[in-house]
Amino acid sequence: MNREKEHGRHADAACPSCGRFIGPADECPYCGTDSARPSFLKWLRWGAVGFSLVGVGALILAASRREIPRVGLGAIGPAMRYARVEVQGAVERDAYVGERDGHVDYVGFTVVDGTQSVRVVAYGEVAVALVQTRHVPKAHETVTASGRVVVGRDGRSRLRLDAAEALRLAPRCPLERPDSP
Amino acid sequence: MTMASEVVPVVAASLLGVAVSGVLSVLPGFHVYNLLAVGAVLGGGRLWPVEWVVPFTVGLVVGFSVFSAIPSVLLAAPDESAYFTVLPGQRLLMEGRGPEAVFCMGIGSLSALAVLFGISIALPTIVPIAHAVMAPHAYWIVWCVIAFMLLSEWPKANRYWATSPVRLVTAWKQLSAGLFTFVMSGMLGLVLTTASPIAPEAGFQNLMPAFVGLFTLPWLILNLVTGAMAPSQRQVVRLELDGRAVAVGSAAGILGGGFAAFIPGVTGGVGGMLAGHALALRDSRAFLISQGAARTVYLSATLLFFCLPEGALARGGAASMLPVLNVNPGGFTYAAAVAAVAFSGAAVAVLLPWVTRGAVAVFEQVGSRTLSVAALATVLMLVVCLTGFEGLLVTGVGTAIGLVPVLYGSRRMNALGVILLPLALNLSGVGAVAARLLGMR
Repeated sequence: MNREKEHGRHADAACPSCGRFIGPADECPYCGTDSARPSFLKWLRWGAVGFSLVGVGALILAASRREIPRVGLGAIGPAMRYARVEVQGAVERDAYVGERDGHVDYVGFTVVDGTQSVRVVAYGEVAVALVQTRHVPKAHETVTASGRVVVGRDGRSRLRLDAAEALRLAPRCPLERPDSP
Repeated sequence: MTMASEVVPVVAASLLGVAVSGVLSVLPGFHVYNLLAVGAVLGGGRLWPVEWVVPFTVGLVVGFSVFSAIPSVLLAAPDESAYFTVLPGQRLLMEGRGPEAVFCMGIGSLSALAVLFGISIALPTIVPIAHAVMAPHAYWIVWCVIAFMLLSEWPKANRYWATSPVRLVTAWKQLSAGLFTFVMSGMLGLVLTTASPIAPEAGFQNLMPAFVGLFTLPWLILNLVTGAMAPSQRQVVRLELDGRAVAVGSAAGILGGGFAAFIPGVTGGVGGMLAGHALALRDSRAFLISQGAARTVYLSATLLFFCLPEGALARGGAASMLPVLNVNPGGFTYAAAVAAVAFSGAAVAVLLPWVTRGAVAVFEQVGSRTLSVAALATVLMLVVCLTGFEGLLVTGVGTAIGLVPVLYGSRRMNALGVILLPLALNLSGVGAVAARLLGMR
């Protein structure tokens, strides 16, 4: 019974000529009436195109002005997966540079910020660029790194560098260990 | 630990997952990943031991992959992976035979689950090798998928126009809408993957608001605006299917769904489209079977790939949710997931006729408009709760883009540009360049 009631409410989607339901169609598939689409749906069509353009434009504009959010190392976890964030801290030990078939393939180091630690990793071309530009961090150096949070097979979260420029080195400072009071 | 103490949680949790999905999946606009996200945010992984979480999740996903065909067909409110069911499914719906379409998809899903269970013992060996071989080629494969998706769309003009210019303009109006949808959703995807307005704490739900906007809300809105009504549905007494339709439809769906589960960025809907073209499916029942199979294989195989003891693959939306639910790959996880696929498949086979019958009765009693309003409110509330008002903004933009193919009659699948374009650019090593061209860092 409700179906009949609802049907009556949606005359907007009916052909103005033959009265049959045509939804958002341009022309009536039953009687062939041109521009059978009701005016509300015409407006909705143009509105969808216009709002898409404006909305995407506004999001791009806002994104171009957005800084990558800086987060504490302790905040990084699986729920941040795929998020782009920036972290700052001291490098615990000299970075490990891994090679495959004689070529640099991996750079990894642990950053600590006094209470927590996180592993920062770079693969492939990013790792090569870090080595070539002598941006492989040493123990106790303060670094600022931005990248994407990834979760390894062991369930631990890591920060994967997007580009070599995403790692900034500062002069060395005394190391605060995660377990220090 | 005794055998019973390992088996009982798997059986019980699988059945519980199927039961929950049997209730929730029939709601229009519901997606199982949203429920997993809520579970993750509420700390579900910490509250339940992993031997319960894995089979429960599998039960939910398997149940959703089958039961969600019910609103897709009966309310014509599909998500992107159910797109292709709209055409033959809607035809049967308008003849009062919607439940037949649901059962055809269900048969495809069940044959897909049987095959997936059968090959599950070989997956830990095959998948890492196949991944090692395919990974260096992923970028051009994704570009080819994009090219095929865009180029295979054909003008659907149902009338002959007198002059060539009018014919050209009429044909390109629909095709342009498809290209527009792809480009706009691709730009939205670039923003979300480069400098997302969503807070980092909700990073694992970064794409959810866009998906809700692109795929869920447009159909709900159109349901509200046009109130498309179907006649009363007849219950299925006997389903006449020939073996060839089942075999061909299942094979096409399993191939397409498997391809989608394996290749990054490709979803079940795209896989189903590719398989449908590859096997030239013309029979509408075989077509429905293939869509059910593709959808189930895609959703279930991505879970199994994530749980593999060696060389686990993170594919699909579940892969971002499972670590938050405290699920990590491993031997036990994989064994529990495979067992849960079998138990869930059996439970779904028993429950499908009952759930379909119940859903038909509820839909006729409540009406699609009321259901759409309730679904709209629920989905928007979820977006705000999980991703804040920034998420709602992204959903708004996504909805505008998602309405374009619906209103201009082009493929809704083009909105998958939100994943495919950023992924293809990043795999090709030019994602950062594209982002810089748009002024993003």
